[in-house]
Amino acid sequence: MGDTRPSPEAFLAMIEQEEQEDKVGKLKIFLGYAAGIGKTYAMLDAAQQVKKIGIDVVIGYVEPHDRPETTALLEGLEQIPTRKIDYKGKTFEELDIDAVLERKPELVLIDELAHTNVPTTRHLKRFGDVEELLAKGIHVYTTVNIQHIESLHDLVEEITGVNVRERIPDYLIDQATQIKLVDIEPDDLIQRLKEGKIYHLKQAEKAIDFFFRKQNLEALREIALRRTADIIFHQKTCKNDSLGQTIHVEEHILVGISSSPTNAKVIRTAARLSQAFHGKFTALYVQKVDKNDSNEVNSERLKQNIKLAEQLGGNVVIVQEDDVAVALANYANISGVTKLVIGRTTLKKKWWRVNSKIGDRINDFVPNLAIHIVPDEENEPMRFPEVKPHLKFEWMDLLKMFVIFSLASFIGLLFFEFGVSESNIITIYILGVLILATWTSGWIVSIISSLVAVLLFNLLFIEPRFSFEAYYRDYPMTFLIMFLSGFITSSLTRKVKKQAIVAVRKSYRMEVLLETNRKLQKAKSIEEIIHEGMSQIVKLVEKPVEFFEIDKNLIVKSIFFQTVSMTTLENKEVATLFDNVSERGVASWVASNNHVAGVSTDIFPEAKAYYLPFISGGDVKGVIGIALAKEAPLPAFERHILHAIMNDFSFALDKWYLQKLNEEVAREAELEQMRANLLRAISHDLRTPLTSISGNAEILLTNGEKINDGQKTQLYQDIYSNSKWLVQMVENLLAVSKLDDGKLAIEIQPELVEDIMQEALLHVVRINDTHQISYHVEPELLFALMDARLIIQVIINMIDNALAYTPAGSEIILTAVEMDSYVHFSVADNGPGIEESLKVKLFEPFTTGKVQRSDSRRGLGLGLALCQTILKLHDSELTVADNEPGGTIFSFSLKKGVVNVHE
Amino acid sequence: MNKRILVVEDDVAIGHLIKMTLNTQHYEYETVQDGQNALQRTISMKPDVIILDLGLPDMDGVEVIHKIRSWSQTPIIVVSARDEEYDKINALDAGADDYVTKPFSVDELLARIRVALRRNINERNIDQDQPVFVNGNLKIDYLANTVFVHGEEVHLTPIEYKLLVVLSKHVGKVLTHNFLLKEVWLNALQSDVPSLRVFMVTLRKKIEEDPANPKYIQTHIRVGYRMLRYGGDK
Repeated sequence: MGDTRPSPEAFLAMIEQEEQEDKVGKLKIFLGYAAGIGKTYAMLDAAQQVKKIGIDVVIGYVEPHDRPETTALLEGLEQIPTRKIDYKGKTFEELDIDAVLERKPELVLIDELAHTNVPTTRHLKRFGDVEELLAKGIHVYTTVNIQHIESLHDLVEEITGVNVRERIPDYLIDQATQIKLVDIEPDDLIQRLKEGKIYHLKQAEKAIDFFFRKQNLEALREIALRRTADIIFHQKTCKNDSLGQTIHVEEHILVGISSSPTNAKVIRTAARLSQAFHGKFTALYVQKVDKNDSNEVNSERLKQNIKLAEQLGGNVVIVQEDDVAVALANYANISGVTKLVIGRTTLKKKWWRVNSKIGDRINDFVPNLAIHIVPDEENEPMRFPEVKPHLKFEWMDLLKMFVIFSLASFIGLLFFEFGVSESNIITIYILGVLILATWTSGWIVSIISSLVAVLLFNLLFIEPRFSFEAYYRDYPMTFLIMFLSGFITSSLTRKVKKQAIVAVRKSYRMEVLLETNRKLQKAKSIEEIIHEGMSQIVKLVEKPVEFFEIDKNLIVKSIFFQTVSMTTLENKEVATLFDNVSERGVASWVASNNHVAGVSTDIFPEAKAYYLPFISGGDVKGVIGIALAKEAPLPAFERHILHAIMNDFSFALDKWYLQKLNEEVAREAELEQMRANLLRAISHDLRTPLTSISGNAEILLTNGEKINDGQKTQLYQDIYSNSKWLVQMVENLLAVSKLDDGKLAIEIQPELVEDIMQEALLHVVRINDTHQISYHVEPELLFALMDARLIIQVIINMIDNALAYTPAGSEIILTAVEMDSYVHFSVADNGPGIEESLKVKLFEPFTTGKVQRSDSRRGLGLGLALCQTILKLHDSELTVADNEPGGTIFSFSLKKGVVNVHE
Repeated sequence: MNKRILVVEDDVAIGHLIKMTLNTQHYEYETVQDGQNALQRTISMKPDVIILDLGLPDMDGVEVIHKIRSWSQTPIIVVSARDEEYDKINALDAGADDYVTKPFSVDELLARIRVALRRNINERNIDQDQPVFVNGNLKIDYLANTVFVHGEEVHLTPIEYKLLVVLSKHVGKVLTHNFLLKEVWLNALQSDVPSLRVFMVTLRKKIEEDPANPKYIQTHIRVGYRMLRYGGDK
């Protein structure tokens, strides 16, 4: 029973999440299955309703409609003027997001969520605008048609034959706070269309024939209803999850990502499957070692497919493996995948393999895995894997070839002289081909070298020698085999070489990551952490990087980190690039929106660099700009490592902040303790002189006539000296109160030491001139960094202490001397000195020296404890030592002040 | 004729103490308890010195100084329990001549009063634009830009000379660091205070007989400097 009730922690987490949700805006989507069913009408109607209850609602963008009912609803709603953008000779109207942000309404209406913005606006798609507004805490009402949802794209296309270009990611729908399904009978819709309520009559007729066929509409309506049901289910499970009743995810759907054109459809199918089963969705990309995304179209498509999988809520995983089937099977096995979705193209690939059916092979590895094979009618003609890398032929390669084959021929001729058989000479040539393969780069070299080897062998060793003819009939066969074996060995070698390079690259990246961790651990200060972190990122991406330090969403300063892989001049060029106002604008957008932007993203794609926010302790502490070229975005593997480094970096900074906070707290606590002790001690010490003053005054008031003048003078003297002493106490109290705020409150300035000494001496309470006090400053113009008031108090206390604990006639000498970058202060007396055992406890409040004289009863240990506290705030310390030949020296050091004389 | 002193103090005990002290020296005095009366009495009584407590019930003491200074140059000695330099500097910048901090000794207060009175006499009797300033053994010839100590010319740097001139023109008044910086350097920053100190040390070395025990220029830690009449108290 108790199990079903959520724990307090779960409730707390839920409340926190709700609070979080309060901060971000809420999204309400008006979902329909076709144009003209009244989404915009419904949205405006809802807006009018909420306006009535006093919500500040504005229209951000609403498609212009001719329908009078809709236009009537616009009445009374504030419209934010749209932004007019001229693009390619036409004027477009777009949502003016900055105007909305400035206006800061509670709720904004934005029609047509799936709209694609005109270039030069901030976000590629309108939903980017919506997301930004939501993140800024503005609620949004929007409309969208079912066919624009990414995962339903193929389904809709199959039904209607229309390829929908403008699509929105599924998570937008799933994460919307409210979904309002706007529904209407298809017959009614057609009726409305016929009445010309949606399009003009001529257009309408065309539409009925084409898109608005009844079966189309019915199918779309069904999809919309189903999808809405899915959303409700999704939201329900999310809520349950947060209550701690985790619903066991039974299904795990895995899809393979490839650069194939049909792959998008496969991914979408898998996504729909995972939605239907409410299962986990993983997309696996198998990066092949020997295929370096040679084709630009392919690699672009691959990127798109990876993005698509992410958008559809898939967890994208990248593995490096040569055999796709093995990789898929292994991953499925390890991660408990229940269903695997693959396209038919995947099957056809690798046609030259004996066991070509990838499905069969996976089945061999993991027999209990359900495999869904997606047919692909839209398949493009099958293409050979485009193997055309390094077709360029370099002259250096020719030279190398010449050297190698000369050597091979020389050895061959030598062997021939010694009568070694031909087969061995063939091996020498094949060895030459092999060496060439490792030594040169380029596929064509392998072919040519194999051919040259055959020709040379024929020329030099086959009868008739020094001609390309051959007498024996079986020689052509020998040549063919020689050519093939030469070619295959060289291909294999090349592959090994490439693998080695990739492995080295990979291990270098890993090394960078590990090194980052190590270096960040070692870094002591925040500057060091930033420096190390950035240097590691530069090392990883081999591009210059700019770090923008952010405080409260503003750029405080920026630091440029150059890369060694570029020349100083190139680095400088990039540095000036970062100085650009618009680049800084992107950086500050990233800071305030906590979202990546710039090159290779949908936000500010025109920027010159890739910007990512750097978060520590929940706040954006910095923005990292990586100078990437548009043509060469970060490869997936690098991006993963980059994120890992960023994580490390952020951990290191979190740790540093925490440590600082702890130190601060500890220091605060220590100070608090000292203050409490001091206050207690002072209050205690105030009683004695107060008793004396009030008592003496009382005697004089009540019994004044009974005492003689001599006695009276004594009483006056006592009152005077005790009150003088009280004044000193009050000064100490003031000093303690100044310590209240710790280090922040003290004002450290360079002060002239001599002035300080003189001032201190002025305030020393000298009731009777019993002691000789002198001071000495060396050199004369000596400045020390201090809070003058507090240090004067320290010196006064030290002198008072010396006065109280030395007999009359003793000598007290103050000195301040320069010692390197410090000023050494000391107060020396020639009194009886302090016992060794007492020295340790001297600076604790309540400790007073054991002295013979009866009138020095006051807790002067307190004064020293206060001195110690003050000096600690100056990063200094009061020490005590024996004077020669007798007496005590108290001393401390302060940092020397450097004064630049301003003429 | 006895000197007239206006005491502005709302605390009865302190007011009593000041009155007693003034009595012993046969000064003529009057006490008021708030700022409004202080302003009125300043007009009607025409005191030679005003002793002003900064914490008054009806208005801020600094405001009183501002108002008085708008028509009168009567020396004002501020009495304050506020020990923060900030308050002193504010009062001095508003036009006060001197300050004493509670708790003060009776002797100290009397000394300050004498300094203030002397300043008043000097200013009344000696024309401000006199070409020569004499203070004890110190003589400044403003026209020739020369300084003599014991009749012997001393060489001052331009800054030292300017500093000395500013101090001498306001003899008896405590000048804040800020004021001095503005007068001497024209475009000075608060951070230049240490260089002011350096020049003060070198200046003192040239004009004081015993720089460790200065007679002419007095230091007010964290506040400023003041030139004293030679032979005066302190």
